[in-house]
Amino acid sequence: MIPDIDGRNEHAPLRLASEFIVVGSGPAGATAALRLARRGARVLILEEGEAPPDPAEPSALRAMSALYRELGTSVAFGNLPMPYLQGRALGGTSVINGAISWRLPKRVAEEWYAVDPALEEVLSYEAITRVTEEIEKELSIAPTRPDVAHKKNLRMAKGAERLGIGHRPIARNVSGCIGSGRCLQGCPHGAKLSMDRSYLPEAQKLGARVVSGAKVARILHDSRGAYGVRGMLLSGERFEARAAHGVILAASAIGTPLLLLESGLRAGPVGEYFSAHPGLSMTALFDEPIEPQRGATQGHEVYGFLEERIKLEVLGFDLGLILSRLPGHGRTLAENLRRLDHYAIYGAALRAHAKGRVRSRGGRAEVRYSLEPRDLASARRAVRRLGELFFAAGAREVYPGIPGFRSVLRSEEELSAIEREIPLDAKRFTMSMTHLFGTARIGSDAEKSVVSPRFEHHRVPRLFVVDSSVFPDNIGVNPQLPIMALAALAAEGIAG
Amino acid sequence: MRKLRPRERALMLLVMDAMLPAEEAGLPRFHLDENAIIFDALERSTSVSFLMGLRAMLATIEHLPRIRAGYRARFSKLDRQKRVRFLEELGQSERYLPRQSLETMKLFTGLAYFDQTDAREPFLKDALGGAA
Repeated sequence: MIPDIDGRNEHAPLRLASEFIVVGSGPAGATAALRLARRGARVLILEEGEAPPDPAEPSALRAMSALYRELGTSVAFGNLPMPYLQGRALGGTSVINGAISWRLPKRVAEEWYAVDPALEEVLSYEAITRVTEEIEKELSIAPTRPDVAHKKNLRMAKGAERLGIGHRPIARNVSGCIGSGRCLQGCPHGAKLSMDRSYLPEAQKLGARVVSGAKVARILHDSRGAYGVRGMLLSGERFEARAAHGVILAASAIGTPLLLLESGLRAGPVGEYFSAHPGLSMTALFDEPIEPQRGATQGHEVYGFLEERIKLEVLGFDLGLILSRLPGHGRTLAENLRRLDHYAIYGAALRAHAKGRVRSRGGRAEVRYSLEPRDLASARRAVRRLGELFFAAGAREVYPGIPGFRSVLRSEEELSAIEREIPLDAKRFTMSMTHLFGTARIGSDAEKSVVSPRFEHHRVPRLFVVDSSVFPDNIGVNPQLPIMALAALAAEGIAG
Repeated sequence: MRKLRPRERALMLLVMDAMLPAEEAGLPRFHLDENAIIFDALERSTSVSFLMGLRAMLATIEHLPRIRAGYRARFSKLDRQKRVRFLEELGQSERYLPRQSLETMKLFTGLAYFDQTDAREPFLKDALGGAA
């Protein structure tokens, strides 16, 4: 897509005005902006990143450099330093995710209502379901077709079926997917309906203006409320934008609290209650070719362990990232690369109990997050579940990737050693995070939350937060669709 | 400091080359130099604190062989066979920092290697059979 203003090419200070300013163009920001535009509001969307390269970069390195925040090297520090992945481009993380689309589980909504009954009035499950169904239709969300699933996904289905556990093709927001396996570096065929290829262009057609390369540094506010933002363009020039009706934050569970803190809005638990889905991956060797680089990037999942707070899914990567998950170093790694076609990589996402914190350190986000012992027990259990799944799928060898533990497992019987021999020591695991929540929580109590059940800041009128920062807790499933559903409901309320 | 020093670039190239002696498995050889895009990406896209961490990781790999029997020299002073062998042995380490350093280098090795068009070609075809 083409932004209305490219901050890289503006060589004088920029002043803008609109009825609403939306900070962030990912699933939350794009959804809120489009919903407001459909109701006739004038909307200005400010995105720090740039338009994704067109055509897409064939090299993962170049694509990640263009599309990922800090090349994917942002790290949360705690008992296990963990990278967290975020997009930085028009369309936000929707450009680099696997297009996985889950409805918000009803039991999760009920957990929220149990803690704060006021939430049910505005965010009733019926209302969430209504907007979810609308989004599913608009973004062609449907289960992954068998003809694009390819072997890594079909193998998982086979293994889960043998084990008798709940599994299904992953529902994704794609149209015309041919299974090139490159979702995570920006779809090369434009088949993924990421925000830059769906909601943002539609919002533009309705009059919304999109500015790329515009990093918001401060929210402008006074006793009457929020009235604009200011920041820096990629060209190095400053910009200021005024909003007549409201400023809407959708800068992610890291960016939103950082912006609040940097704007002096420290009341309430800003940056607290940071929660996530830490994930780990495992690799296995099969006798027959799997070709992990081919087929839908993430096309199949196991939901049968959600009660254990574990969700399993196929992981598809570009070749460079696949190589990093093959066993060995040096000559062993080179030999394993030669037979790359025979490997599969599956991952586990954990609904961790841990809560962390986002702070500002000199204007940069500092994320602290330590796994609890029960989360480590979940991680260890996930290693076993992945092992069971791989063997049921026909794997010859499974590589747990846990230092100090057997480097290769060759039979199901060996899996029983996992609980016996892997200590609950965080640094034994290699994990990363992709789903981030909770740093500007929604709620009726201004001491325990940052925004009201109507998504408005408790102390600053006309300042709204609509991204995953508002989620009271993590949700145990991929959050893109629930994020969009809540942003849609927020926009309905804001538009009045 | 936003830039890797020339000797840090040179050291990282040696590490990546030893991490994946691809030609020994009949695959295209690593043929990157100090102007490779990986360095530009690291310097332009990552944070200052990450670059500091990367320097520490490189220093760990550079100096660890000095205290290991059978090496007793800096990584960059070892011949290629010994560099490869050292990384293979380091991969068995249970200690967090050396292991994490190695795994981080392995990640960048993969990204850098497959930035080479000749390295990608043997592996890439779309699901429907066309060139990706």
